[in-house]
Amino acid sequence: MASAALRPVAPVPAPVRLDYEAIGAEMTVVPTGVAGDGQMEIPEDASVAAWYRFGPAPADGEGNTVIAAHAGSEHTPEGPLYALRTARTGDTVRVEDASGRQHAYRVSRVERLGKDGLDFTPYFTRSGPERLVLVTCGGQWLPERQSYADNIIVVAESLD
Amino acid sequence: MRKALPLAVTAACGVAMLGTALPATASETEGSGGDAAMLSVLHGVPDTTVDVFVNGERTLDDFAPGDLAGPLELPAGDYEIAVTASDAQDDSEPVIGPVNVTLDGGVNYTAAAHLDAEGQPTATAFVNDTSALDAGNGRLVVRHVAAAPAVDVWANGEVAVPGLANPDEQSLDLPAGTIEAAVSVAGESDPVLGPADVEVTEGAATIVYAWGSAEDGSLALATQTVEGMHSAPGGVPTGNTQVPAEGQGLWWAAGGGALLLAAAGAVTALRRRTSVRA
Repeated sequence: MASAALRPVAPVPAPVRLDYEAIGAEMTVVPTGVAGDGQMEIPEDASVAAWYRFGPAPADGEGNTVIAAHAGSEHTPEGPLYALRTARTGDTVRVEDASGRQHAYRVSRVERLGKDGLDFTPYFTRSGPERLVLVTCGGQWLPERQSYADNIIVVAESLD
Repeated sequence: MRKALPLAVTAACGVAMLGTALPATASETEGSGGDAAMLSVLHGVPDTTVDVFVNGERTLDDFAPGDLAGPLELPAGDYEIAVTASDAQDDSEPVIGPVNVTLDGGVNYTAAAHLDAEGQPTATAFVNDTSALDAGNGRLVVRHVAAAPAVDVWANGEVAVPGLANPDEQSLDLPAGTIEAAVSVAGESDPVLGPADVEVTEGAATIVYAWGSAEDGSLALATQTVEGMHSAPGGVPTGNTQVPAEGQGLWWAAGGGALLLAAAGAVTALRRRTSVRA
């Protein structure tokens, strides 16, 4: 048993830097949450990646750290994660957190899935083995929707 | 902290739980189908360290005011719970109870030993709503278990819950974040508790108890968090701008198999050519 008195929640160090050398992606990572439409909040600029701050961080040691970025944006026509379409199983991805600690992952799956009806529940799991999940958009550009048809999702397992 | 009660405990007959019968909300919460019930226990009686007996077994020893124990994972079924003085040999002379309670599988309960509005020791078994929350939201639950009249609960300077009386509760789903919470006597604006920062955790229920006694000046806030109600965001909208290279004719092959990315132009020439495996 423990005191139930009010106390501040101790934050886990947030991921601040993504380095995916094999596809030439090196990015600043900022914490985001949920947009008004219920989707993950993504920074306007495709050169900046979002970490889903309500889910696990690498330092939690379990569950999926989700990092996403636009494939392209007005300011950065081709974002670093546009190259996720060239990700390969076995690639090494590194994430640095705010404490300076480096976390290494090995890519285990590269998926391209249609956005329509895509259930992100397994990708945002907060329990289970420590993983990194990278998300961007890909597939066919749909002019009438001003959006790509698919999400490209890269799942990587912790090497720590 | 989580611990399972010994199986022997459940074999005993005679059953009861702290104080009153389960509130009507018990029937409103659907079990998730699991066999075990989760039970937390809050000690909200000022000045008295106690022991808690479940089915005659001492389960919580030297349980101090303001402490929260659990969740205990218990097989669904009937239980008898009694609260005794902390030096009691057994539960034959309880200060609260014994009370019989039925715990349904898959349901999350908090039993609170507390004072009623008039200052008499009692107990209430609350059912914690563990239904799924929208991504980005948390559930704030306020429970009045203090010897005090009805209160207004304030959030960020506004009355969020008016006229909450002992032993009632109110639940609000709201965007996760820190709120400034305060409690006043109903209809008044001077806080009798707080203001205090309360972190409404995403995907979880943050349960705030007002406990103690207004008359004795021992009113206090206690919190409990019940996790695991989070949902994934509805989508990851990462493609609202077309990457220019594709406007030059680098289309994805249709269909579900491997996709070949044609490598053309200065931009893609720098990148590895490969296929994306679905």
